[in-house]
Amino acid sequence: MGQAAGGVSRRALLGATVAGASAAALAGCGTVDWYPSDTTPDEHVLRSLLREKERAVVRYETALADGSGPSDLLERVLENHRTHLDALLDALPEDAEPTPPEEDGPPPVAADEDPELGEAPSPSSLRAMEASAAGMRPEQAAAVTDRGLAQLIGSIGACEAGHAHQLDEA
Amino acid sequence: MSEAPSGSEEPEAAGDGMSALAEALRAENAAVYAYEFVAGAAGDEGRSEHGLALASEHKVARTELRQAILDREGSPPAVEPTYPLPSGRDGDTLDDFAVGVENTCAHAALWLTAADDTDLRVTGARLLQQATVRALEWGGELDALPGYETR
Repeated sequence: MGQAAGGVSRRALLGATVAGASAAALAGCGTVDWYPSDTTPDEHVLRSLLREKERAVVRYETALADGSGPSDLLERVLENHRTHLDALLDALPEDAEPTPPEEDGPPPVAADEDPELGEAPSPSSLRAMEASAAGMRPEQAAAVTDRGLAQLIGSIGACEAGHAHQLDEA
Repeated sequence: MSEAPSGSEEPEAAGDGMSALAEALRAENAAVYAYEFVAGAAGDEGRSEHGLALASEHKVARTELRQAILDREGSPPAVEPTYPLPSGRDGDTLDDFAVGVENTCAHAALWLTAADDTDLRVTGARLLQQATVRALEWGGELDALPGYETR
């Protein structure tokens, strides 16, 4: 699943998303100056989500390497997060920088740069992370200008809620 | 029950929110009917009680969506006299049927997350999460991107 919405491929949907986001950003030019100058509101949210997903991937990889928790489930969840990461990268504007502008936050995370990421998380802490992430998605979906991007964020949040449920049951 | 909502589901079509709201309400109407059926048809107490509990949850969502339509001066779609039901009554059939019910609700909720009205987006995202978790409770699989249709 995840390849189409309403008969339209996800990639095509997200292509429209990006075009819509760019148009909306141009239309609102001069009124969104609380965002970094080169970053649209939608890109700002996207960058934030990308950083979260990068951290989630590192945490699950660490948990799997440590052997803590149900490995089959952790593998499936990790794969879902990687799918989210790909979808979010696809949603970035074509002319966007591959890494965030400096004023928009820290660069991509690495375990050796963040001590917390180097420690193997317990299933309960992963469950808490998923529940917290899912709880933020409705407001983030409401915060973007592009409707297709809002759908993507809403869907990611639903998957994260599912992860929290599965980790709770495991 | 897993049939996709009628009409276009592209984000552009959900802009005014009313079509998406109506589709979400239709899905909730069907879900209430479905779970009342499950509660009565299930041969074991666990499924029956779970069906009753979820019928109540979907009634709450139904009331919320109906009110959202009325608040926007729309006309809520009428409840149908009947909705599709499975022919079997065994546990696996009922579980699969319930997963289909939730997938239909999830699909409609995803459409609602594309509304221009940000309140509706929040509602859609929340309903999508709830439907996704309920589908898991019935033994459904978790997709990376719930709500989108499988081609």
